[in-house]
Amino acid sequence: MNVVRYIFYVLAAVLLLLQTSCFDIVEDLTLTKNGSGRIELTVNLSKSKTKVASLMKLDQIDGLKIPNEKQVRDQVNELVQLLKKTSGIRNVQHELDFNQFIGHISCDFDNIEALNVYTSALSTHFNVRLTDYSNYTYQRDTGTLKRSYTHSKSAQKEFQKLSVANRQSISEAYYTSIYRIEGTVKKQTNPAGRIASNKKAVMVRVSLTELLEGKVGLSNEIVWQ
Amino acid sequence: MKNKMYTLLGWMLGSCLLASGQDLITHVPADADVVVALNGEGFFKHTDRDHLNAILDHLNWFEEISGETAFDSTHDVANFGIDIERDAYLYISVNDSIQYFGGVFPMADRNQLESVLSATRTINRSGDWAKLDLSDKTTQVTWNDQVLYLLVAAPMDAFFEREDIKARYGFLENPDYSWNYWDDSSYYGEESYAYAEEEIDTSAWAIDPIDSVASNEIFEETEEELEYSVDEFAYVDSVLARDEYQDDYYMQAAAVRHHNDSLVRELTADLLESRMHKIKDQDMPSYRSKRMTRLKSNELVHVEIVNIDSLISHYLPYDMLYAGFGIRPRFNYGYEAMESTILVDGNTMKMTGSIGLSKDVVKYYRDIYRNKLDRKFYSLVSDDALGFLSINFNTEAYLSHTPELIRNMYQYLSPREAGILDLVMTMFNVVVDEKAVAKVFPGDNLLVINGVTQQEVTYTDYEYDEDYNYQEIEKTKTETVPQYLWAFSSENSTLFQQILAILEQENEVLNLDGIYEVQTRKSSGLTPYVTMGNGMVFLSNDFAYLQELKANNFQGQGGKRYRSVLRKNRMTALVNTQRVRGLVDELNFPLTASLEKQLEEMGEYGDVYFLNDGVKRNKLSWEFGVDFPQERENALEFIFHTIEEAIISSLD
Repeated sequence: MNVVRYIFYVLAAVLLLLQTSCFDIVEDLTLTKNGSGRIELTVNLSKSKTKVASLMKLDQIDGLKIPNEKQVRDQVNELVQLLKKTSGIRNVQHELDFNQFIGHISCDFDNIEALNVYTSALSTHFNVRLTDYSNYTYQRDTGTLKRSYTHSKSAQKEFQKLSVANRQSISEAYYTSIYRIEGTVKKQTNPAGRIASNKKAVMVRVSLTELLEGKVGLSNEIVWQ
Repeated sequence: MKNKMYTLLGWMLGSCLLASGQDLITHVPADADVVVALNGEGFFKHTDRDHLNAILDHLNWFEEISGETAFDSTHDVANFGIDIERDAYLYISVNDSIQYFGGVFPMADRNQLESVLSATRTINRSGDWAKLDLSDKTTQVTWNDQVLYLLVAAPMDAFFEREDIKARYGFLENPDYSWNYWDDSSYYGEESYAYAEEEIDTSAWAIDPIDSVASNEIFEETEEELEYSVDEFAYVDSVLARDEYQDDYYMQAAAVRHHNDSLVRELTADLLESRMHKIKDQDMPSYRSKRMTRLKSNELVHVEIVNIDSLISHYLPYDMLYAGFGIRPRFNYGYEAMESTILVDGNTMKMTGSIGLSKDVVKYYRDIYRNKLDRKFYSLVSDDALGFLSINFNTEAYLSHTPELIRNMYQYLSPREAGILDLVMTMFNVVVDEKAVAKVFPGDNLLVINGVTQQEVTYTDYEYDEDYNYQEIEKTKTETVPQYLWAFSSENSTLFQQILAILEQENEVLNLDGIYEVQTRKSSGLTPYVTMGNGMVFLSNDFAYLQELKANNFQGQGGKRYRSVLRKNRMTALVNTQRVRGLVDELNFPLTASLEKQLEEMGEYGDVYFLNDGVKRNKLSWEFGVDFPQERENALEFIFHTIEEAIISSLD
């Protein structure tokens, strides 16, 4: 299955669950000067867990298959195994909490390229070009971390097929990216980005609706010294 | 004058007899275990034949039955020569050796039927009778001007597994599988390997297991002393011989199986032929049922099972029970005849029924089901409740009679097993104080979902500092959840009070002025609260509601809509489907377009219910019903219309 479609289906299933919105995706990237670091990804559905728990008991909604706990665990394990096999990736950990409906994956990387290698591995595994959508580069000499992000028109198209009510229902769902740098941040280029008061971190927090509609992006160029 | 009077009387009497004889129930054999009456007239009084024709048309049924002819007349069930507006019957007769599935259908026009069937099938004629020529001799379809008989015979496998039966009919025995690997020296080859002649010195093996390197060395040394070789050619020859033997064996076994199966099929076909002759000649006693011949116009289907215990005993998987537990039990549930009717009552489709109970057990069941729901419970069910379940039985009677019921059920055990069972039941009687238990839990229960309630639930969120470090924090929010209430009578709630007191000491419950909160994670919104009063115990997830009840001497604000049904029945299960949409809206449940549509449609339905009013005389009765939407003339019309739409949309 096309992974964008798959991700959409998962997302759509999640979207369908949330009439009163509220889930968070938090991506926390820590980078050292030599280019190694750690990345943590958290998906938190806790605020809607009652509805999520109820709807996971259903088999499908409107033709969309709702995965059960085992299926979610199996899929995550598959992604984790791919991650573990990626060159430059170490210390992979993951946790799935089906009481609070929080999922967490983290790993250390030897260099930022390893993240791109993982994305590439995902692309090969699911037979779709994920690398077109998100890509990291790091220039040590200039102290620049660059994240390229391309808005997915197919995801936007699928999102727009949802009813207005369902689209509005995720108005309070957010995607948060935090970049922690070993150094002092001089600048960052994302309009939604903010530099921490200690100048060692950058946060980009965008509404998921706007992200899917292409009104905001995750592209950023962070320069530090 | 007198002669004319007698003639007139005779003619009237004859007409009456003829009228009753025209009911084909007399063509159903008396040994039928299950009989189903299909009320054709009643059926087509409530729905248009065109609906049925349209459905069958979409399913290509007419083409399959009549062949690929394009005659319009064959797209109407009325033109198949069967009188669809009279009663037809289906039945099952089963004995130890064979089971028959039969049908009796009134004929309207045999020429019509024969013209439809003859397009693709051969019809054999003998006197008044015509018969379809079928390759499967265990099925017969035969008819004359008045009636069409369908008869299918199937053997009872367990019967033909018996050794005496096999011997009687000349079944062949399965060949013995006698290939024995261990006898086959060629497999291993006598000279194929030889151990070292000197004995292996095992004393050296008695070494500290931690010193694994040393022990490995010893093993290695020992292995070197072994000398063996495998004669590869002998091995291959042996494998080929074994395969050849197995091929021969399977062929022999298949031949035996084919022979035995053919015998069974022939026997079955012979029995069917013999039975069909008797049926055609009306040489068998007829099934008798006044009820079957007096179906009302709104009673579409009526089912009678002559004896449920007997039917179960024919179909119990005795071989599996014997293989698993080494027993071939015979149970006696105390059930006798069962009957059930599907009827149309305006826009409601109902299924009513009853089971007869034997003399041995009826008094017990009557005792167990003598309780009605205490009237104190009526006020707990509001008129717009989503649904409720009320179950009422007499606990004291249940505990008192259970040993007898179990003894009755297992009365056919061996003396040893019966003795053990008897001892267990006696101990049960001695140990269990039925009266004391009945005071704690008399047996009336009510579970109701009235609506929704607000509950505080916790969730995990993140708090960021100014440097964007974050930590997990627990927050609370108010969520709307369905409100449930379970209430049951208790004349002596001391036991519950003591349990709650202990749990309170252990901090498992929190006492909130007489309402106990069970300490669970506030994550699901279904935190239970318990309270007692007015001879009842209440369990609910709505604290405010319990407070209100307590303040009002445990009287609810329920309406009168469901009082009658709660009062009359020992068991009631009911869902108010019209309430579902409102509840989903109150719960803020996300809806897709198709779910919206389904809920809109569900809102047009009325109640879906199941009722059981206990034991009357020697029968346990029930009723199941669905209130369909009012948009069609009646429930049957609605069902057909829905089926037709569903088939059309599935074919699109």
